[in-house]
Amino acid sequence: MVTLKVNQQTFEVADAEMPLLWAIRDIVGLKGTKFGCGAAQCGACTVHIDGNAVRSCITPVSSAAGKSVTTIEGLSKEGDHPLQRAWVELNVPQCGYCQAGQIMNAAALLAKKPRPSDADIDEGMRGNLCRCGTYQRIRKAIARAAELGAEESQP
Amino acid sequence: MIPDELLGRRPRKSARIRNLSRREFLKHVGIAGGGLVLGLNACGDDEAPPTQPDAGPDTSTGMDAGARIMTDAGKSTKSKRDASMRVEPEKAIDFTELDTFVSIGSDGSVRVTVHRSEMGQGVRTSLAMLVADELGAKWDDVTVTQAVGDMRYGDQNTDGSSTISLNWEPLRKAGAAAREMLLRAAADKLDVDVAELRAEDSAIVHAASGRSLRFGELAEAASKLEVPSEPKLKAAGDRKLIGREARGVDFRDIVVGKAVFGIDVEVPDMLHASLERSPTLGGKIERFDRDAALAVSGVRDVIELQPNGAHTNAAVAVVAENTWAAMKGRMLLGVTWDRGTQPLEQTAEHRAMIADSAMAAGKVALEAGDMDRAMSDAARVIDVQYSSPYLAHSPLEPLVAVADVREDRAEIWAPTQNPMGIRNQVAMQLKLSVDQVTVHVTLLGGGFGRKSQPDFVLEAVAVSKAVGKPVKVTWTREDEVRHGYYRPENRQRLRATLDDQGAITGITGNSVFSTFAKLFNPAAIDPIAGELAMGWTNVPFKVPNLRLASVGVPSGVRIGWWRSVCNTFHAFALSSFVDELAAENKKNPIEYYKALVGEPHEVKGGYDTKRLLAVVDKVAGMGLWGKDVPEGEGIGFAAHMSFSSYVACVMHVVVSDKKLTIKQVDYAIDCGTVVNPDGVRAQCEGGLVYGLSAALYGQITVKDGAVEQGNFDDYPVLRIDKMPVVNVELIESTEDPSGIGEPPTPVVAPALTNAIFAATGKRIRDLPLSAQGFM
Repeated sequence: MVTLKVNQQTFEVADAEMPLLWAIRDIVGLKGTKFGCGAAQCGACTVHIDGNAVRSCITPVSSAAGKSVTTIEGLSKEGDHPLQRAWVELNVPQCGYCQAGQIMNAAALLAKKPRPSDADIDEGMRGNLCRCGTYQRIRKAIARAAELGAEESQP
Repeated sequence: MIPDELLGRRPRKSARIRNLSRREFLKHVGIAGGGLVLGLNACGDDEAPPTQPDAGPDTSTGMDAGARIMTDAGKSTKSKRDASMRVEPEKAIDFTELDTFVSIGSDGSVRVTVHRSEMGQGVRTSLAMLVADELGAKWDDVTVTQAVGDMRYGDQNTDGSSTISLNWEPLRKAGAAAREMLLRAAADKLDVDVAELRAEDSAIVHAASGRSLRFGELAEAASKLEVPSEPKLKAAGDRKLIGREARGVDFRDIVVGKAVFGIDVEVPDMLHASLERSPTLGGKIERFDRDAALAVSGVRDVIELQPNGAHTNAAVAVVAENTWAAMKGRMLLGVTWDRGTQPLEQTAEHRAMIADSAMAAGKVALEAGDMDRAMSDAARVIDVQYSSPYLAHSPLEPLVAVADVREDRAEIWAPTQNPMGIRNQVAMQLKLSVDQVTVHVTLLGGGFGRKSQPDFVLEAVAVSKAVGKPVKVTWTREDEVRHGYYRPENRQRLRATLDDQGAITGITGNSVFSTFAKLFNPAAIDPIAGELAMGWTNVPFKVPNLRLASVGVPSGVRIGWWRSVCNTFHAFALSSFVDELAAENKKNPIEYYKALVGEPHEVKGGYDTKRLLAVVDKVAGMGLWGKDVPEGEGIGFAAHMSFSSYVACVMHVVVSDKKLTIKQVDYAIDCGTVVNPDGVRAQCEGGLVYGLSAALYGQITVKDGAVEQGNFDDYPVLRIDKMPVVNVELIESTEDPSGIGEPPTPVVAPALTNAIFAATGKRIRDLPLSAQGFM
């Protein structure tokens, strides 16, 4: 039995091998984290473990034991993380399926590099696929979120 | 400073399930389902719409998505363990239906029923705009609800880039009819002439007396009136929403992870299944280890499935309490397959057969002038061939469906492009009447034509029937790549006859591919007219002698339609060919192209060559075309009409050894009247990425009848670091709107290879580029 802490709440998962993705979706019941490839190829399943972006589809729940998992539902209380605001402001989504993973990956990127260069964004986001082709807007939205974040961190 | 509400700062509440009465539900969707119907309200009812101090309808931000969402798939969000999605009882909102697509809520909301499937092309937003504009609704009051599959809505098959063109008139009329009913109800209440009233901001206003009545106050009286069959539509100049920027109605849900896709559906007592399918069509189960799968904790059952007609293979389903247990059990099945004795497809042999067919005369589909004479009189003949491979669709949401099959009814939740088709097929499979089948349409995590097909639903139905419980079948990525309905492998031979001055006297071509008609008629081999009218028999060039033919070839995999269907390969061949001819004649490719299109003329299939040339001129003036670029860089051009929309594209590429960097892409597009301009730009960006993925990397190969690729490592798609800068210009038009989901894709491959030619002098005639050593 593995005790998982997801978005500050604890859950018990019987199968220690179960990928974190399926534990989050089927056991915890949070559906924002998506399945896209099962092989860390697409990034749709990206969540944070202790603030680091991980591909939950290949991460067994055992390796998240005792750590803090954050999903898209827990990224911000009111859905107003600078990335979430920038995403809506710049009309990023098309079908929307990859976007939770994109935002979670970008959030970890911004936490490390609050003002990323264009090259930082491309390098940091190349693990997240979007079949609808929203990449141009993702680039702009991350840059915009960095601005919003900087505005907010000023007194 | 940007107002809070434009940044999505509007306070959000947890999604709540609301209880709509059964009577109310039946009234709106006309189905004989039972029980509780749950709607998901993402924003909460008690919130006032955001105030927009100076954001009138004339500002580009005046339509921020205050629109709220309801979906009958909201059931899926019901999870007792769900920490963030609380299930709360909520006061029911009474909806008063005015017509098929418009209901007014007791809370003043204006509910638009969207009957086409949302897969990222923005129809839940753009269709709601059509209705709301005619109705005179305030955009912030608009909620969107997704229709189940039902004939009362008309054609729901979300395919062929047809949603806006088919619904442009009917949905505006639905809004206008409801407006006229509200106007008449208001005229009665205020005891004034209806001509003195107007509808605006979800109210009927009597300007002379300064009185106004909200839609909500009029709905009941209006609903008792007859729905006018020929309501008067607004003049274009009076439109308030159409043509202005609108934010996608689902965006707020998407960015917080609350949008409900097919994979997110959960119904009470639901089990999960994963299927091991025969790798080949016609394969039979030999043996498998049932006990090994059953030994996995959480696995409940193992079921054998027989093939269903043209659509599904034999399979073994592992049914379990959760997705992972089902997948884990499946991995232990060790199924061996009897692939049969018929010859199994091998890609090398298949390509050789296609190459032979390309040299055949083919079945003539279009003939003008005397091509034989042109051939015998030619001073020179340019004779080349182009080819491109099978492609899988790979929407990021793999295929998935939930089916709940009971003795006398079936309920389906699926990310389907074709709910009516599904309803019919499920009824047929279960020998039920269509009235006994309910198909709920969720959001689609991408579709691209793949989710038009019924296979993934039919399998879920078979498993649910076998276990007697609701079942969700979730496909893996490998399942999706290996069990597709592929864009056919194809080859075009094109010949141009030239006189001694180098002028073209004729063009003849032969297009070889496998037809998707086989899905409907197992004996079909020859390409059908509709396929050939996608970029082949509707060639816009005015040459005196023309002959276009085709050869159908059998295929050992399922063939389907892939974003823009046959237009991809026909545009690649013809747009490359014209570029080759321009180079032969040392002419500017765009000038040469325009000369070949020539004076305005009729093209079979309602093709306006003036509109084509207008987008060509537009794109040539966008700044990239004609720019001086250093050695090793090139600028390519392609233009193509599909789904009644005209697209021209200019692409700038840098080639260093065989490393490609696509720097910039300019698009000009004429899709008639534009409903949501930013939506059109988004589809151009998306169509480009889809086309680049295919041109650069896309290739499905077959060995012993089975597809060899399986995931994004061996079936790669474009990543953000390869994304060019994209500029899009729209032609202002008063023509009726035409498609946008597919038309931006066909120009991509030829614009890219023409740019590579401009950069290097090397002509690429076979896709993908990765198979030619490019990276």
